[in-house]
Amino acid sequence: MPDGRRFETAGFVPRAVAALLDGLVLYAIFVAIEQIWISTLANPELLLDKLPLPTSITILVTVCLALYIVGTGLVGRTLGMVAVDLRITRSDGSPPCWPRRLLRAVVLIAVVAVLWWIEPLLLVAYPVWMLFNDKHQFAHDQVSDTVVVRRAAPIATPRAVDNARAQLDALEPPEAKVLLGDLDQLRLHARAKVRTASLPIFILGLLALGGMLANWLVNVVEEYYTLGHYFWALAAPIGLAVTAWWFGRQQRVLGAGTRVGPMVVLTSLVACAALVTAPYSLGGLITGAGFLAVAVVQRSRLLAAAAIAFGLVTGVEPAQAALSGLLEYGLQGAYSGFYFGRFENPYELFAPGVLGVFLVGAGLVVLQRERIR
Amino acid sequence: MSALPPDQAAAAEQAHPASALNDVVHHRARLGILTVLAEVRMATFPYLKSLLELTDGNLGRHLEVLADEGLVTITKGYENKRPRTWASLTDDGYVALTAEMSVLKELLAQFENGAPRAH
Repeated sequence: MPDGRRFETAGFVPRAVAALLDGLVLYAIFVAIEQIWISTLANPELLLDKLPLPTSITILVTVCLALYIVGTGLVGRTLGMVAVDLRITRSDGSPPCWPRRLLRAVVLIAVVAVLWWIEPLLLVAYPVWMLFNDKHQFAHDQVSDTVVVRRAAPIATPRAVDNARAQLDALEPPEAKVLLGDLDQLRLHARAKVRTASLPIFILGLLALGGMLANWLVNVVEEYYTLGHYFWALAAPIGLAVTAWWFGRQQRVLGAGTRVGPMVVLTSLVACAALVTAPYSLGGLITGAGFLAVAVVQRSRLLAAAAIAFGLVTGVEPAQAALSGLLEYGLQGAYSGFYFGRFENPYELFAPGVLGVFLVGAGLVVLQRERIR
Repeated sequence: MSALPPDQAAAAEQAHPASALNDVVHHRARLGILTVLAEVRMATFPYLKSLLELTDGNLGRHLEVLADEGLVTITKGYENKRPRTWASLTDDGYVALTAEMSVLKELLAQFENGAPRAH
């Protein structure tokens, strides 16, 4: 029997973040096509009545989305997977051939199409499927016998374990305990030096403050309406590029670290998505998703929490309304804001700023702790 | 019990690929190198030397042994005109490390549960 390697399969969070980033790419493709179509219309203001897309445009969008899924499926990794450092393998650890990758992509398209036809909300429930099997597989993974792995890190094979067992036969348990303890300390020490979240959190804080300024320009100062809308198209990639530079610098200074390549892909992906979707005020959400991907790669829960809070406060209306309600009326106001909508109070405009101040402070505190380490 | 003379039995055991692999891995410093590389993905010579508190010669010899067995990859390059040597773990290195760790944990669990050693 071949000594097949097994890999550590990616869990729910990394796959969800990769799927979120892919979703942003697909949405950006849709918006780009829609914008091109709008620019060809004689009377674009008619769209204020929310006229439906013509059938030809709908077909074109669907074909483009399918090509993205099939194309990235044939390559073996979607852009979201590259950004979060995931890859597809067969369940026995061997690389999948192109027909198998194609099958996986086709099944994914079929599942998405069926769920969308039945009820679009089912697409949100589809990820739950992976929680019910130990290989974290979706239906399209199970049909194609593939798994998504966190990184190219095979785990122990039976033969390797037997080999190790033979060699360690003379080792006494107290020695094993000491050795395991020492190796664990070494691992934690190595991780502490390399995994840094201070600057990304600080940058998120600055971006949130900038987002507040952008809100003000859009809602209050009409002359700078466009600048406010395109703020995230510039700020998001700059923030991620600075973060990528920081991790690269840390690697050079320390002499150890993770690969920066996925961050470059992520920065480009976020830049394109933010630029294309600028008129739709999704920049904050896209930026939050980008930094969440960084948190997943760096395995930083602190940064993940900051990114989620950032995305919600700057990009999701119920969260913005809840925060502005909390600031004006306390907990009751937060509840009302979340369920019933906006307060139209001054706090709504300044909610990202409040978060920004908090994140800037948190970034400085974390930086101080990292320096002590 | 082996039918060979003791010196030939020892040589035969040393020649077995299984014992050769784990002679390479099961050394405190080498396990430490593999553990650090599994955590940080890639590391320079000074970083490993500082973290593991080894001398230049010692670390160099261990890295050479691990590289010869295909457990780590050594990449030499330049950064700002300064020579840099980077070490990273190979797939075989991950397999060997996780196998050692699982057996160590198994040994400890058996001891703590009061079970007899499995031979």
